[in-house]
Amino acid sequence: MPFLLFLAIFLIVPTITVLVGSVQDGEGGFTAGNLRALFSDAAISSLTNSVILSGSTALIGAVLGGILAYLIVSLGERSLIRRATLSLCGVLAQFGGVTLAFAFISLLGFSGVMTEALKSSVGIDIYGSGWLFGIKGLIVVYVYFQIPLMVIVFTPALAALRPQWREAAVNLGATTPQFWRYVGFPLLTPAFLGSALLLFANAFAAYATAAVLVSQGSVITPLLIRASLTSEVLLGQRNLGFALALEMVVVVAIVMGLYALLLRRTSRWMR
Amino acid sequence: MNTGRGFRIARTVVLLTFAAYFALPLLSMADFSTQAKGDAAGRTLDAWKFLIQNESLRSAIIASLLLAVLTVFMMIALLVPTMIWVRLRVPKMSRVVEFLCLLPLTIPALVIVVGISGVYAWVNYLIGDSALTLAFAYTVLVLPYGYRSIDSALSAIDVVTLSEAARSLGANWLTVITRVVMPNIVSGVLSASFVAVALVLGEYTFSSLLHFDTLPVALTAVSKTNASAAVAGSLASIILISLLLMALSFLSRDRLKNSEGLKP
Amino acid sequence: MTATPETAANAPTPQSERGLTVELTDLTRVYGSVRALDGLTLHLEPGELVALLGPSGCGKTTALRILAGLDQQTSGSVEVGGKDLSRVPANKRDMGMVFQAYSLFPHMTVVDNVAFGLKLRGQDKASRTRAASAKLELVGLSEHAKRYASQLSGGQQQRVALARALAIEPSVLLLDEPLSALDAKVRVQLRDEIRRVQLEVGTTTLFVTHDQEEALAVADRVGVMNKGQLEQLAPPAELYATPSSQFVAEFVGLSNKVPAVISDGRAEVLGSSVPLIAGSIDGGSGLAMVRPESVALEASGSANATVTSVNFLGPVSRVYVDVDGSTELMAAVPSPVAVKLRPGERVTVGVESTPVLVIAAPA
Repeated sequence: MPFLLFLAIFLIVPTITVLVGSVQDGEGGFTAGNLRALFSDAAISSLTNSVILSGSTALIGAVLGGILAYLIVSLGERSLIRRATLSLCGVLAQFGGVTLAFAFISLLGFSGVMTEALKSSVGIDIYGSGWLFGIKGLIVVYVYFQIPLMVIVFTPALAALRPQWREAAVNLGATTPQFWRYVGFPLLTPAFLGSALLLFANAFAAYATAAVLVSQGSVITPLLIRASLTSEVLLGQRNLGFALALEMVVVVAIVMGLYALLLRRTSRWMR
Repeated sequence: MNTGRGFRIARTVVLLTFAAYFALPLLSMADFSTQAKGDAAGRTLDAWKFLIQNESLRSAIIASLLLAVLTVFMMIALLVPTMIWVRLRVPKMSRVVEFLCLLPLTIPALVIVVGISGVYAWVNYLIGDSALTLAFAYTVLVLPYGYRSIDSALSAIDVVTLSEAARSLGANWLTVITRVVMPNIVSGVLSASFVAVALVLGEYTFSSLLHFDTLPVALTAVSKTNASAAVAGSLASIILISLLLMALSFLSRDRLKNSEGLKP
Repeated sequence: MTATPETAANAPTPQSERGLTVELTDLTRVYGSVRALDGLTLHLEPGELVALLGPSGCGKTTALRILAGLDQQTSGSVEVGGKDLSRVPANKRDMGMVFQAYSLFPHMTVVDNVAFGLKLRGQDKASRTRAASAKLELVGLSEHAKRYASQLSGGQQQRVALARALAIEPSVLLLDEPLSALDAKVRVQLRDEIRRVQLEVGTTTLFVTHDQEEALAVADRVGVMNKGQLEQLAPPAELYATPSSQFVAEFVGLSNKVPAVISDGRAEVLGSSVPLIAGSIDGGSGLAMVRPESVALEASGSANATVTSVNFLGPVSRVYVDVDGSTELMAAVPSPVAVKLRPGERVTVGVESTPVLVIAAPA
């Protein structure tokens, strides 16, 4: 069947290439050197940064996105603002890559709109030494698409919170904090955590935005992979790229596995 | 119970804050890309004109648009018959197909790129090295989104019954697919197409690491010398993508209305 | 002797704690231009079950929710046990409510659901589990204590909801169309259950429904509501026998309308003279609302009607006849008699000597 053939060539083969290549050296022989190199300072440091970047933006995105989702769900299903916000979030969540990088460069870059405005009005230089192009900048920029993604993923769970549960709890004597503590939060926690995990995986696997903002250097794992693929300096490091890619797959697979587990838990309740 | 006055005021304030936060980069892109150069004051569309006048940018834009169209066709040609076939003939495979289609979500694009250069060397040898060969890879990337849209469209219309009815009236398989099923899943196919276009227009990982000149790659290159043009190009593509995705959400609302009539 | 927990639980609740009076006085609720409630006044005796019956939009659920505190009245007052509840928030009103569906907390077991109200009141785990188990036994679901709501049928879920509402020993029990989402057979079983439990516990109860059979079957008194107002409040038998208006009569199933003439305070219907129900027109001619079982049907005599169809329904059948020159009537006839009738046959119909409501004929 052409479908399977297509997938085999363009998805399976590359994946297997990565798997196999990660234990090969440059000449085709087998070696554990690449896997060992995953524990080198450079690799560990970029992995750590990747985890920090993904974790922090997942957390910030989850909390802020959760609040935004809660607010628009409280507007009721027919509200125009709610529907418009959901559509907008659909757009913004896709707003990755190159366009996002340039958006923030135009805002906070050396001659960015906000940079100039703050410089001329209150004399503050927010550009500084170019933090935008380092990990701090990545965090600020990533949050911009993490929040809408959270809204999209988490709103269904919020909307599934039946009003009867709130009313029954109130009728039985619950105050608002008590409702949230005994009913609301327990019911929403799996969905919330699952969504946060999704945000983590999303940030961890992201490449384009970082590639544009950080033109040199390998502060996070995806950029280290870029270096291993394109840099002449790291000779014979191509297979290291495979090993790093394998590392990425493992991390993302674990996170997505946990996500799937949490999703099943939630769907049992929200019917 | 949530509609106390204090809550409503707080909600409005917070929503407006979010709106401002999200609007800011977009507005700044508009502002930045239309600023006059040097000491001149006022607005200019020079950066925007540059997008069309500059040759490499122009060809990159065209390349990306063509890629988008090509990817959409490949995705539809690959997915729709397969999914219909699976539902009608081998329903037990549907889990497998679902898993395969959602696999690209779990395998980061970066990982696929790392392993795909061998495959692409072979492809370029066979077919040539235009950027359009990216369509193959893009179709894979687009698979999860396409699968979800088409799957829910197919679920809504009970394909099995429709095709059995058509077959009992004498239709062959081609007729069933093209004249019975496809017209009823148009909105699902359309929404899959829109998402595919949005993805292709913004895709950078594959094109940059495989050294093809698509729009995002060209914009990055031009940003070194003409930042305004890069920003203008980004804004243009985000506007186009937004329009597409807005059209998508209009469509899905209509689809909900229409399918009420189709359900038994 | 100190009261051990067992004896305290088994001792009959003193009458004074068993259920309080409920007073809804001139209750009005306006949403924009809609008057959901228009001056409703209702008094419930301790331990009484009053059913509010009416079509959707008549205001019955609104009244219930205002009593529960889930909605706020525009004007009028709510008093329970003599205490004005206007300033008391919903979670402090000491009422137990059973919703139409989906109100069980899905992440808690059945017994935890039932014990939830007691947990909020600070009872320790052991005693609230005991109390919850007792309530589960009351509704016959003890062996399902450790299950989750999604594992129970609709009828079972509603029984758990009832146990949960009763676990807090409320002064008022509120039931918002508790049977509407269930299958017909389950509905009949469960409504008898609910009535049995309510009588045993003795809580003052307000039961809202749009099903007249349900209301007539379980209630001490039935209040028929229409467009935000109470049309009639009476025990079921009285409501059925002497409906005070056309709306009420039609709602309890009186669809027969036969031409009648008023003379001397009685109605002349189909050749008989029968008493009038208060609320009938004063004089002239109109339409008498006759109950199907009050239609006297004979296969002999001077025929004045033709049989159009016979529906066999078990012990009683429905016989539809066309009365000469006017209306169609539905008669409830014992099946052994009805089975002998054929469509097209000529019969004699009259009315038994029970009071009828005569309404004005449409112009």
